[in-house]
Amino acid sequence: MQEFIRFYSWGVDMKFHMGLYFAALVFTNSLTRWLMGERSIPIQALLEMILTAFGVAVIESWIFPRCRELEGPSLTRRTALWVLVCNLGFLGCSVAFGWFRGLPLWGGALLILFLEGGIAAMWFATHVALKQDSKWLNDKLRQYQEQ
Amino acid sequence: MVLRCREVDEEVLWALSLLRSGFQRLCVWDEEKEITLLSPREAVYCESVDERIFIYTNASVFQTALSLAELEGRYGDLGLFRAGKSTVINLHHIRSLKSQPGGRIQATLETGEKLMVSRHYAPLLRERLGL
Repeated sequence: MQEFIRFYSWGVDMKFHMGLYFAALVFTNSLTRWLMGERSIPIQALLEMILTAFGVAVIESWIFPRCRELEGPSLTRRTALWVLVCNLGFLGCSVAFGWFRGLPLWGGALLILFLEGGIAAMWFATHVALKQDSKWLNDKLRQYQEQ
Repeated sequence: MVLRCREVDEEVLWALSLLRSGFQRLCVWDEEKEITLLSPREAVYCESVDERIFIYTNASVFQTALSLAELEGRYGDLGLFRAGKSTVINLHHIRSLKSQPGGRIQATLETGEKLMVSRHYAPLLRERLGL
């Protein structure tokens, strides 16, 4: 039962990140296609995107395990690895599957900028904002327990 | 008050528990159907499984006739807090809290167990802690 709960919790977390990645891929692809005069995304492209999002999210859950508090050099190393995986995964699959075919060079540069901004925002949310929030929660909990 | 019955079954225990659960002590029973008056402060967390309410202390597991809503309502002042549809946590027995994506909060209990405060109850926990 404990193993199942652990696996289930891992699944919930992983799917949350997978959903975020998939939403970002669909959003950028829809916007790009719409600006280029298209009005639909092929189902195959959506399947490729969801599988890519799943793959990156699974690797991410290995890089940042839920049960370990990462700090210092370990966090830096794992962050660098995660940035590499995200870039290789999303940029590599975009090129390999031709999701943004026909996009001018400046558009590609803009998308890469969006990707890097998204990665930075996600890292901040996970490793700075949530940690700070946890610290506040624990401070208040101690105060409550000492009352 | 004398309660007469042929045998002490679950139903009798349930009725006894309701009669004896005052505001200071919780009437609970264990696997051997032995009745104990438990201080609500001893409860680490309570869980609803198959329509039965289990109370976990640091060393034992008990059952009670009170619902999770009743437990929280009666002993909320002693730290019992609704963390999800099927769990009530004693805030005094939480070792640490961890903010999770999606607005949930993970609570690590003194026993080492990890319970999730759902998205629905997390804002109420923040409010209760004064955040």
